Amino acid sequence: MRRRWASNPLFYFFMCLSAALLIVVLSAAGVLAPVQNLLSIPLNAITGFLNRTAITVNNAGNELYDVASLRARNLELEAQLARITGEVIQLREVASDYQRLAQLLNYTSANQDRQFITADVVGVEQQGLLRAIIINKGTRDGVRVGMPVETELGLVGRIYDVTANASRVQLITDQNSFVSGRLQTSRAEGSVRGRGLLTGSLLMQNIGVDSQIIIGDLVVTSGLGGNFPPDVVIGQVTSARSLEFELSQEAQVTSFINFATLEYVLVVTNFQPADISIFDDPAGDP
Amino acid sequence: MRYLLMGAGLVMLAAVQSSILPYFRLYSGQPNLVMLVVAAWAIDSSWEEGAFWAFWGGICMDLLSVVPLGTSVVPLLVATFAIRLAVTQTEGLTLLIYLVVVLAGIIIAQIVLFVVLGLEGYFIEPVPVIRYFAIPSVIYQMLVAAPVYVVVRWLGRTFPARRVL
Repeated sequence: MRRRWASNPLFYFFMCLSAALLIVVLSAAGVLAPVQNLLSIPLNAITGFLNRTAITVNNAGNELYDVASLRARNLELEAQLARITGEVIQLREVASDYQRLAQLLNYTSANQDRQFITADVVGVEQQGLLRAIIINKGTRDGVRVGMPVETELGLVGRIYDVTANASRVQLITDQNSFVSGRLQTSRAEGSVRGRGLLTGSLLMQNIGVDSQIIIGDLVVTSGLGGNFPPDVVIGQVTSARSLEFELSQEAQVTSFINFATLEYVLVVTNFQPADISIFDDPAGDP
Repeated sequence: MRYLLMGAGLVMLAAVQSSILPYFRLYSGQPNLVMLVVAAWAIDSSWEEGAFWAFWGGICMDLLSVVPLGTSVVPLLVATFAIRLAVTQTEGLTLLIYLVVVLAGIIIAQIVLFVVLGLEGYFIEPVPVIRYFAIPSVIYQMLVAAPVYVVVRWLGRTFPARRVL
């Protein structure tokens, strides 16, 4: 009979359950604390070892993940740096443009008697020593052939070909360019000719033998010939040559403008070149 | 050998459960390997053996936790008894039946555990516990239930119980 009771699963279950509940009650009451402490020692040792191992493995895994994430972050930052570098370059360009335009504006403000339009240099034409620039303003903007072109640093050249929305400018450095100039100090007249060089090197010819040429003196347009308005800076005298057997002197003049890097120019729109060629024609004489 | 292996194995499983498995949690849930091994053992051997190992496994788990000794024993005993009862009522154990029975056992164990903890005075908020602990734990246990059964069954066959004449 006792055997049957013991082999009954339900009986066994309730016996075990009762024992478990008794243990719970005794443990909650603190009666089993010494036993628990004793039994916990080996278990805690095993758990501690496993825990340390797990932490080591986990840290190693985290470090691997960190390396991967740092690599990804590095790539992301490199991309960001490239983008920001591009933006910085753009901003520098804008700042540079702003500076140049501000200088042009100062120049135009200081010359209220002349009307200007600002034009971008959109092309360069070069054939040997002949060099011209193309600007993005044409007849629609009021540009006409013969109008002078300047920057705040001085004379650039003259319009010699115009379309509706673009113009060609003959530079003063062109070998076919002749500008009537005047030395600012001695007021001596001369003809400033281009030498076909991008350096802005010019030659002032036909200066009277009695005239004093001072190195560093400014050369400005004289207005003679009616092709350019007077008193526009052409350049600065860098050297002079005077030969005894010649009837005139020559001066090396250098423009302040760097013609190789021109980006903006000013076209003087209220200057009409005077056509005086008729006076040169002998057939025109009465 | 069988009992030594199982006893030491449950100690190790309880230690692994409280040290290594927390690093492999799914949300806040983690598998109760002791419960799965005890359930598989109860299915593959006898109810008495299952109850004994439920007792032993529960004690090991409680020794490594802050709850009073015996707290984990009660749900393990109830779940093991329920699983064993269900298996004896079915003819032929298939993988599907095994998974359904184990799922039912896991759910019963969770419910009983919450009841016991509540009686011991622990306050448990049901919704977050079910959402972040119970459901992920159940899913996790169902994923490892079949492999655990295969291992336990192999051990049971390799180290059979001695016949007492």
